[in-house]
Amino acid sequence: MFDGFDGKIPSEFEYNKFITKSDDANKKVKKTIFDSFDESSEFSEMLANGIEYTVKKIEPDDSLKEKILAIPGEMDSYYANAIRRKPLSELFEEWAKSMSDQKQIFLSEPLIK
Amino acid sequence: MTKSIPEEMKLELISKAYDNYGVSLFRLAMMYMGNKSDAEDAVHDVFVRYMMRMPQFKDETHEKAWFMRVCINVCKDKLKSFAMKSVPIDDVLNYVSTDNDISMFEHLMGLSEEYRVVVHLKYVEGYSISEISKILSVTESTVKLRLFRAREQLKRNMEEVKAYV
Repeated sequence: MFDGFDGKIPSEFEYNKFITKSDDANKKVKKTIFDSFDESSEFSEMLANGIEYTVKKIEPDDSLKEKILAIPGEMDSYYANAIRRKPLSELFEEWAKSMSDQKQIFLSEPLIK
Repeated sequence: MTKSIPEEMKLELISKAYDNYGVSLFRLAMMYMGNKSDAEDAVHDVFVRYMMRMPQFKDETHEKAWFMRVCINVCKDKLKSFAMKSVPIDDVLNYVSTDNDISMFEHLMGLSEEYRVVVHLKYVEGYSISEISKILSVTESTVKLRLFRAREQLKRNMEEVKAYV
């Protein structure tokens, strides 16, 4: 696994040498990965063509564009409805009524049971 | 944000963006979601986000990268919420007819999500390593490593299938 490591604890000098070797080994592994990243290799070309050819057969239905184009209208009506659903005056009326109901309940409740 | 843009302008912007990127986004979403209805929902959500933010882009490359990035985020969120461990590919197979295509899809969908998306961006969208690294917010080395491993896995799987045939 580690090139040149014989199982003995290395001296500081040797340790530095060992680290250097290890770094070199890592660099070699990385280099191998990036070198093998060869776009012109037969397999890479076959893969690129195959994937591109196959995936490009996927096409959305025409109805998707209609759904997308309906978004602004849907959003506008959503926000309009959200505002329309609870106008401030209605909210105030509801609040006033609930306060009044609470007062009624409070007054109708005997203080000491 | 969107209030300042007139209705016709919004529609025009969305229509143009869909014409430019709709198909790419749908394909990308299909690679994540594996079925048509979830992929359509994802693309719909991407355009809702676009509508909500109406971002300004430096150029078309920036614009496309934004759409791809948002599509990836939307798909990831959906997959998280569905708690999907594997992606059903029945819908994907509706788009292809030959055995070769079916087997290619099966191999692709068999890759893990992070490998699949890198392969898609590289081979289908034709992005460079540096562009993919920006879209995915990872280093170029990570993109190279993922592509390398994805290709190795694809190669291994293809050879295994060949050995059985």
